[in-house]
Amino acid sequence: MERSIFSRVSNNWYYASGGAQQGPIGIDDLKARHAAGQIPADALIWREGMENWKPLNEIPELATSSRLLTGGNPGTPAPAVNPVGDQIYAPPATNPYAGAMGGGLGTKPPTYLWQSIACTILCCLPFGVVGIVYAAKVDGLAASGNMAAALDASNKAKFWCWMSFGATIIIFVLAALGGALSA
Amino acid sequence: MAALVRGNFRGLPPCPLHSTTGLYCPGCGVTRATRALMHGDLVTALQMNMVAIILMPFLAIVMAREIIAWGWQRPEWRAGTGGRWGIGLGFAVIIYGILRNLPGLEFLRPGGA
Repeated sequence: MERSIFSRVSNNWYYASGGAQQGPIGIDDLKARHAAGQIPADALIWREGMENWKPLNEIPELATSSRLLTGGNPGTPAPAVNPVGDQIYAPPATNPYAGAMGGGLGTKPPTYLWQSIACTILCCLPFGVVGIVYAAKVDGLAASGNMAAALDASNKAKFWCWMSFGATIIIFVLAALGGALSA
Repeated sequence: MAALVRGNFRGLPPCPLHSTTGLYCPGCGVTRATRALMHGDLVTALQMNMVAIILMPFLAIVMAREIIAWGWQRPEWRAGTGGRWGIGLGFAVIIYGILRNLPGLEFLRPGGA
């Protein structure tokens, strides 16, 4: 199944490995790790929108891999067994800031919104405005499942925050040096 | 730095944006407002940059949280994304910067009120 990053269906996949939840990663990444043997065919998988965790070999989108054809019987229902416990293996919160897992695994990219606003007000440079504009895009893109674009906007907001901050520090240092020399 | 701010601004640079373009950015007047606050003059501080003075306690809290989360690797301290209200606040700051430069709205400029 072809799945572009612009798809409305979420492309944020999580998998259970070694008692910890890994992800989010894209489906291509997931397939690659499965093909490389890092994720066994019976590993529990969850994607945003799915009811609960399922073994990898019972997820139709992932059934294209040849390894899957030998891995288990697609007719049997998913075992309702969580390897560690409901707390850890409950589906991860879609909004990491809403749940107890805030900032942990499976988070959305940070927006850098507060940093952008602070830079805009405190640094007197137009870079902070660019940061705000990018920061404002992050959550919407992440909510629509377009994680690559969300991360890109997040990184750009971060970049312009640092540009604003760094340029201001340089200006202040130069001015302080100039003031000290002329005094 | 505190000595510089408390002094008569020798050594503190003029805003590079304002001195090159003549524009008033959303942060114009913050240094003078901070100086006024250090002298206990809230009225002058508000005249210099009302939005910054109102936002300052709030921004201090969120930035302190972000710095703790970043510096000590404590993600639970992150200030959150702000959601729609945060984005609205961001654009309000940008619009404030635009309005300050419009004719008839000179009272929004530092010392304009």
